[in-house]
Amino acid sequence: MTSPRATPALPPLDASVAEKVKRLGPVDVLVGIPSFNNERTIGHVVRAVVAGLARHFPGARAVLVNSDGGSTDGTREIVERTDVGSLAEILVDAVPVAPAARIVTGYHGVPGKGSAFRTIFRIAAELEAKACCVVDSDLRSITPEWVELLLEPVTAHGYEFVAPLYGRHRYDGTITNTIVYPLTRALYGKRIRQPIGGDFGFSGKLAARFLEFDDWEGPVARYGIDIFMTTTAVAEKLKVAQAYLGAKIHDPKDPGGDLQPMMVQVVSTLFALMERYEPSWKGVAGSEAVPLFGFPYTVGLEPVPVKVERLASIFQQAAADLVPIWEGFLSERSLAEIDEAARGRLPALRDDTWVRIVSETAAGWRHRLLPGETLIKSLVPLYLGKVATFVAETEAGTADEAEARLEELALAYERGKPELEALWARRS
Amino acid sequence: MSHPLSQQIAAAFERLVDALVAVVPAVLVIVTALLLGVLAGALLKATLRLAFRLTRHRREGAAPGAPRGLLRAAGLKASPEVVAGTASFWTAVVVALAVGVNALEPGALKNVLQDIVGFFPRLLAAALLFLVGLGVGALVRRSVLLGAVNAGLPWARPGSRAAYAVVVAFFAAAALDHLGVGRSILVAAFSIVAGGIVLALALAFGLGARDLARGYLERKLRAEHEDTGIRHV
Repeated sequence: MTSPRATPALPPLDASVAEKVKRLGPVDVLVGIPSFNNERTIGHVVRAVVAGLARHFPGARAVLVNSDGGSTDGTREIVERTDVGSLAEILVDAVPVAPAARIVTGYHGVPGKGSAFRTIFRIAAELEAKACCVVDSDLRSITPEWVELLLEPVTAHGYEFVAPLYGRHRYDGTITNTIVYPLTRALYGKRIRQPIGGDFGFSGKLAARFLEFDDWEGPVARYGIDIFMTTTAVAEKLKVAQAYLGAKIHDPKDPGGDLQPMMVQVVSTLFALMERYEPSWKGVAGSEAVPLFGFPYTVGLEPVPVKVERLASIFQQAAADLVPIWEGFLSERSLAEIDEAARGRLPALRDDTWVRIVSETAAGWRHRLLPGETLIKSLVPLYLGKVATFVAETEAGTADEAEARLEELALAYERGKPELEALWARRS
Repeated sequence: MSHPLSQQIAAAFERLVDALVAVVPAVLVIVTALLLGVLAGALLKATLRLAFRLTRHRREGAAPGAPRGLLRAAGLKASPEVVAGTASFWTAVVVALAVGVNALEPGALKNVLQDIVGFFPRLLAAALLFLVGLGVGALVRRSVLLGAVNAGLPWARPGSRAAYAVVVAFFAAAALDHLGVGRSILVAAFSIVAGGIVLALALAFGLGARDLARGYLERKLRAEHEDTGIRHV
């Protein structure tokens, strides 16, 4: 483990929550749900979680924690009042010792998913939970089995961290597909297909470890939390697994307007953790699969209609206008290849070019060639160009062919790892 | 007739020589102060360089700190070491000169030199203000360019240049104002130009091209809601 710096202060708990935590005493399992104005979907999530706990952990002392970011709709009330109804149909012969307790609380600090998780981690630590999982509050496809799949590898098999594996549309999760998954895989040598999936299982010990992190004011307090959790687990060489959860259908939360801040938060966290865990990833070559729980099956997915011309036009405009900024951290070779890729009607950004661009951006971030936010924002149109390339290549093919194409990209990242290491080490 | 004239000329030359001789100690004082200033500046610069090297050595393998990022952000490629060294060198020289002038005997020369040296801090402050303006302008230009390109707006490049020009013009005006150069004319000119631009834009956009304005705003609002369809995370 990388030695922690000064032990950071724990996030405060409201007096009523602290009292409730004290009254509850130690628990076996904890399920956390971060939320913010999710009244349309959170009732379904709560029902699935409560049913999952009753069905799969009937003998366990369980608690559901809703960490809310100040919802102004009925989110909190729904969590408190949602009734699962008759469990007889789904429980078969299992009879829970007691219904799962519920804690509904706000959180302190920077508004965002990470801050919500931090309060969940704090409550997990206070309750000495043995196993925890977190699920998003906007899920429409969650079933009671998700709770089992995320918690059981921890409770029954000694895993410290369980990442989700979903059936997703090929154009759903493109930051994951083109940057986060292949880069994390190449860096740490573990094939975790959805490192920022948002629904995770982890041990109580790991929750306490997350709390030791010393910068809860930055991007980790927002969208950076998912990659922070996954990276911490793999970089600290913990026992990790994946759980196949089926389809991930959720309310869209990332319209085009949110792309820039989301990209900055996720990618800057990724790069910051590269600095923190440099000894863990340097010298790692290739990658290996991690154990999978659950039974993968094909799922019907909502179509994702992509406006590839708009992606292409942003990329092409950037190729004409952003060169003075890119010159600050990209090589002449990359610039020439971007120029070439932008010449056609649709972008044709090759894998090796894209991998080099990401590596040079990471190195630029490391050597502070430009402010981090500027660097990552200037990566956005290149990313859109890569996505447009991927769409053009895979639109006519099957889902398996699209996945195979992403596997090729991941292998290109692995081949590019020595170059990344060299760029990372070299001073500008 | 010629005798008194030659005497007067000789006397004038004597007075000139006396005046020049009287200036010699002042020149020596100023030259000595300048030399001491250069020496102190060089020493300060060398000390700073050493401190930077030691810090860098201690941080070997770690990423460069925020100062370099700030300078890069402002479009300056020089390292913090060079910037700090140059700034400290010239500060030492100016301070030494000021001390030297202060040490002179009261007189016309001291008054003139005091005025010149007294102008330096204002000149430096104005130059600094202008440099800050260039840096802020570069930051604004970059932000506007990135934001506009990422939003797919066609006016990204001219828009970013215009933003840069406005910011630099503002800081240049502030620097000139600080120097007291044409203060009233400058303020009036800046107000007239800025107000004129706003009024012209408002008239051109709102009245002269009402249909175009409506069409543009409709397209803009549509574009803001236009998604690529992709789900990024």
